[in-house]
Amino acid sequence: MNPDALDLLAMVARFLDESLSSQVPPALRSDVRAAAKNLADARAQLDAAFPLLARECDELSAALGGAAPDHHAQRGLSPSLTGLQAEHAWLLGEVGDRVLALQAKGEPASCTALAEIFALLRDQAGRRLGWQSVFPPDRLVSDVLRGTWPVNMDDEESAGGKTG
Amino acid sequence: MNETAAGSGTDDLAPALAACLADGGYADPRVSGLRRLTGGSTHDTWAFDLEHGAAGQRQGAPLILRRNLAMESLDMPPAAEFALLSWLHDAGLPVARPLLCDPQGGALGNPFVIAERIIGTDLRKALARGGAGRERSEIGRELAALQGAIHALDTADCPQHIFEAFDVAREVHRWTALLLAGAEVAHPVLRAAIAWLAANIPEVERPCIVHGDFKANNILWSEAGRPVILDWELAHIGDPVEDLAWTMLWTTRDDIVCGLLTPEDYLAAYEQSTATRVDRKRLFFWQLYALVKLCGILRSGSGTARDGRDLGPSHALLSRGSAHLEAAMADYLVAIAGGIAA
Repeated sequence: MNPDALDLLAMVARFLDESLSSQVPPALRSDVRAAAKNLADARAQLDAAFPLLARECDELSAALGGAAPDHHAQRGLSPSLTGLQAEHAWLLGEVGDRVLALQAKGEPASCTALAEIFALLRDQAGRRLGWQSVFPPDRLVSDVLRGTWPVNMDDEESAGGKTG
Repeated sequence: MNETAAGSGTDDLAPALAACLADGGYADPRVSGLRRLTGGSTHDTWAFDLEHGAAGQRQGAPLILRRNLAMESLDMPPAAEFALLSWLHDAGLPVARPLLCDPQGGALGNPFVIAERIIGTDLRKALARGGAGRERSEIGRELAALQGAIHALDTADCPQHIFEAFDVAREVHRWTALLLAGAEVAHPVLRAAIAWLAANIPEVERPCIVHGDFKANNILWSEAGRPVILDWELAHIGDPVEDLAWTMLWTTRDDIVCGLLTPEDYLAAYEQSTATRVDRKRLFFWQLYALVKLCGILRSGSGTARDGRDLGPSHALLSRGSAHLEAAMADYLVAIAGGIAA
């Protein structure tokens, strides 16, 4: 057997959880188990990261009207995860600047554009829920609490609770 | 972490603890059954049994020791925690009675509080095991009333040196600055949420004492089937609606909200017990704020790490939860951009 990188992560995670955690002092046990979970989450992320980041970069670039950093051209020539991450970070920074500018305008057209961008960012964050072990991967707290939201922030009636 | 006077091992700690108790007025103290309950980069907690008193009049007491291991954590300092717990206990709130405090921590290596130990289990674990011996909705209504009772305490009576004066804008800045100070550019959702919060600071008519972390795993369920409120390190003067929003962040079947009562029913129970009406616009603000604040806590390892690379394995695991928080924040921002009408 010649384990690849993902196999290695799984093997080390299993070793930490099944063999080592019961052998360390109680004070260290939870950290060892957390380390095993971190490796399992990292494995899931690495397994999906390349196509997912490429897709997100394309989506973010489209949201910016086609803007792309210099290293975007490198993607087709010598694709690398770190290159994609750098492109992704640049695009997120640009989208953040765009969002803040739109928020500052506060016009109806800005609100429509903002709603589209936020919906895109929600979907992107939603695709990463399987890479964490803190919250349930199948539902957001916002979905659970939606029924407590006001109908309208400008409507005084909403101060008393959602009525319709 | 300072472990000069007493390390993390029981061999070092037990005699140092007995010496502290003797200095604190306990005659001929004997410490037994010392065991570490929880440990981390910010705190550790130990259970032990104390026997003390003159010959023929010996008394026993189950106690707990809690040490602050990181002075840069976001939590309340031990001296303030001790004063607050003493006041809450005297006010009749169900909290563990504090007995001793050393804000310098010379004797045990770190600042600490010793308090009585209530025998029981945390409510989250009790619920996960199948129940706490009573009907779930009944427990939920009792906890809503208890949270209301905290909010009803007269802040004028509280030892004021514990808390900073109430200032929503400062609180919002404190937690959001933590997220914007990192080396990486913050996620657009975070930047947008922070900008919206800063531009929509609510008016609060009656600031009160809020627990700041009122959730199932911070409530001890005693063997007698009564709740005891633990972990007051995030308590502050705030908006009661802020406290409700934080409680509503935790929504599994073993949490107060969704585990005992639906979000709407929890609000209704709180409103009924306090004879107040929860302002849903403020609640919306504080729900978004809670997501941002939790993101700051998770990413900074409760304030112990300046950088993600400084996090230990447990804090690193928690910090990964920020994808969930960003997705939820984006939902709030979509609703704001659409004028709510969810």
